[in-house]
Amino acid sequence: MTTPAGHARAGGAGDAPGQPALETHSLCRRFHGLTAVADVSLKVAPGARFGIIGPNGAGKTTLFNMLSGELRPTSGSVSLFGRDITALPPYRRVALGLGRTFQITRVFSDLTVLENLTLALHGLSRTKLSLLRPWRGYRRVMAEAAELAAGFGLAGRLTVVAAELSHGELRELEVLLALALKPRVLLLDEPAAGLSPAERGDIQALLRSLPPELTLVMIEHDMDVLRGVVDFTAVLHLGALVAQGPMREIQHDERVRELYLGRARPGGEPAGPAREAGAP
Amino acid sequence: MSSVSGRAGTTTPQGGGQRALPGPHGQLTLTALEQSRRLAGPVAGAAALAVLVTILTGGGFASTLVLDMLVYAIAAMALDFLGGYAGLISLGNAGFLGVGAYGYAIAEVHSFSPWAAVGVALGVTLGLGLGLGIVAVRVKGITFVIITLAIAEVIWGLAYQWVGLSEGDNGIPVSVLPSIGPFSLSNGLTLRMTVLAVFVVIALLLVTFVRSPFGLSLRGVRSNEARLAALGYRTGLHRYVAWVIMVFFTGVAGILYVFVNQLISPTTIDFSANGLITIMVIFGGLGSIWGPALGAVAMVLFQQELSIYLSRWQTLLGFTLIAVVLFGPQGIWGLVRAAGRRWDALIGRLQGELAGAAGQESPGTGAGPAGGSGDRQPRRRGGWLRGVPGLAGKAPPAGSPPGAGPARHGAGETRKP
Repeated sequence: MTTPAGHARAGGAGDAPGQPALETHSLCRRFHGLTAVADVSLKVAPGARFGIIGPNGAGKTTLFNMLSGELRPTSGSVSLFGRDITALPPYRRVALGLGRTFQITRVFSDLTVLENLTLALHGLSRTKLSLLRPWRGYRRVMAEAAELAAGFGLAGRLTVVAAELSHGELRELEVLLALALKPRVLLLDEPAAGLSPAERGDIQALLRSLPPELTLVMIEHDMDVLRGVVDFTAVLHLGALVAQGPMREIQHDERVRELYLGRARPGGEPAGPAREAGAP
Repeated sequence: MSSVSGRAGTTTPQGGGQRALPGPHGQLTLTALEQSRRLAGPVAGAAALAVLVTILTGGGFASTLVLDMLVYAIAAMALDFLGGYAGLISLGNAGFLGVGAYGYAIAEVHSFSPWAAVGVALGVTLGLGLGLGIVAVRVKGITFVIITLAIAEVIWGLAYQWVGLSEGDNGIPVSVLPSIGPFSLSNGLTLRMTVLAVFVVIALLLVTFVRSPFGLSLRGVRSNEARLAALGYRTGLHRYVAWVIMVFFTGVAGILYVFVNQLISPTTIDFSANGLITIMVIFGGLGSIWGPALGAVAMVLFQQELSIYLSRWQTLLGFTLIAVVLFGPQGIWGLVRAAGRRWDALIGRLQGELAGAAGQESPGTGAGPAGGSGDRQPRRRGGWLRGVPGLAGKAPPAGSPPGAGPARHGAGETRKP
C-alpha cells in the first residue's frame, strides 16, 4: 500500500522547538456530578504512535472530544505544539493541524466518495467559500482526491454514494477524510470498530503506512489492534490514568492485566474482555 | 413542462422491452441516446425560454400569469437554496418578499426617486438578512422553521397594524416605476422582459452557487454538520451566507412583485402566502433549483386557473400535495431525475451489450454479463431515488469493476443499513 498522506505538513511556523505535539494538563470533565474524565495529564511527543486503552466507559471518547474541541473541559487545559488550544472551537483546531476520526463512522453518507473527499480537501482553504467556480473545476483538488482514493483502494469507488460502501470501505473513507487535511496530529477513535479480523488487518496496515512525522493518538479497547501500530500506551480506567508507558511494558503491567481480566477470585468468572489472556 | 413527459416517453418503451440489438444499429442507437442525453437539458432550457418570451411579448392574461410565476419562482428558488441544500427550510419567505415590496412602496410614497427606492428596498432586505441571520442561523430543524415563521408574522403584523407607514389593510398602491432613458418599467413589455431577465440571472446564479465548493459545503451541512466542522469548516458561517443570499433574492422578488402588481397589501404576505412558497418548493422538488421554479408554475396555475372552475380548489391542492409527499417525495424534479437515470441506465446497458458482442461471438453468453454484473449506476445525478431497483443492468464497457483492484473486503456485499 502506498502512503497517501506522504505530504504531512512539516512543523508549522511559530512552534516552540522541543514541545510535545499534544499535551493535556489536569484535564477534567464532569457530567452532572458524574466524573467522566478526572485529572488526566498526558504528553505526546511529535511523531509518536500513542495509544489510549481502557474498557468501555473508561472515558476515552470524552477525553478525545475534549482534545478535538467538541467538548469543553470542566477544568484543565489542552495544548498543541505548545500552543494552548483549550478555548478554540473544532474548526480552528483543525486549521492548526489537529485531525480526528469518529468511532461511529461519520462520513457524508448521501454524497459520493469524490464529494466527500472534495469537501475535506477544501476544508483548510479559502476556496470552501468560493461561490462562482464549479467544484469539479478545481483540477488540483480533483487530482488529489483521485490520488488519495487510489492509495486506499477506493479508486473505482469515487462515484459511489457513501451509504452504499461496505463497512470496511466506510472506515477507510473516515480515515481518508481526516488525512486529506494533512494533519500533524491525528486522533483516531477506534478505527477498527466493528470490523472483521481481515478488515482489521487492512486498517492496521494502513495505519502503519502513515508518514513517520505524523503524530498518531489512537483510542482502542482492543489491545490486539494497538499491537504493532502503537509504541506508547496510556491506560484509562473510570476516567483516570492508571498507567502509561511503552507498549511492551503495559502489556505486562499487573494493574492492566487485572483491569482486563478481572481479579482472579476462587470460583469467580473473569470480568472484561478475555482477549488479553493470551498475551505472550 | 413538456420536456418532462417527453423524456419519460422516450425511455419507457425501450426500458420495458428488454434487449436492444447489438450491431451497427445498436451503435447508432447508442450514439443517438448519448447525444440526446447530453443535449436534453440545454434544449429543454432553450425551449422553455422561447415559450416564455413568446407569451410575454404577446401580452394579455397569459403574460400576467407568467409574470406571477416568474416572481414566485425567484422566491421559491431562493428558499430552495437554503432549504434544499443546507436542509434549513424556511416558512417565512413571503415576509421577506414583503420587505422588498414594502421597502420600495414606502420609499416611493415618501418621494424617493424610483431608483433610490429600489436601493432602499435592497438595502433594507440585505440589512434584515444580515441582522436576522445572526439569530436564525443559531438554530436548526423545527426551531428554525418556527423562528422564520415568527419573523414573517412580525413583518405581517407591522404591515397590517402600522397604518401610518403601511396604510394597513388597504396596502400601498405604486404608480411610479424606475426608468432608464427611453426604457421605462411602466411600459408593459419592458417590465415583462426585465422580470424575465432578472429571473434568468438569479436562476443561473443559484445554479452556479450550488455547483461551487460552497454549494457542496451546504450539502455537507445537511448531511453531517459535525463532520464538516471536524474538516475545518465554520459551518455556522456557511449557513449564514446561504441565509443572507436567500433573504436578499427573496427581497428582489418582492420588488418585482410590486412592479408587476402595482400594489402591496398584507394579504400578499400573510400566513398562507408563507406556506404557499414553501409548498412550491416541496411540490417542485427540494434541492434542485429548477424544480421549485416548476413548482411555482404549478402553484400559480392551481391558484389562478383552477379557482375559475372549482371554488374548492384548495381542497384539490391539499389532496395533490398529500399524493406528492406520499408517492413522489422528490417532487416534479424527482420525475425528471428518474427519467435521466433511466436514460443513463439504458446507455450503460447498451454499452455493455456492444462491448459483449464485440468481445465474443456467442450471443448467449454475451448477453449474460451485460445483464447482471454491474452493481451500480454509471453516473449519479443528484442524491434522490438512488439505487432504484431494476437499474442494475449496467456494466462498464472495458470496465474497471470495483472488485478488480486490490482485493477489497467484499466490496458491495455488506451495505450499511
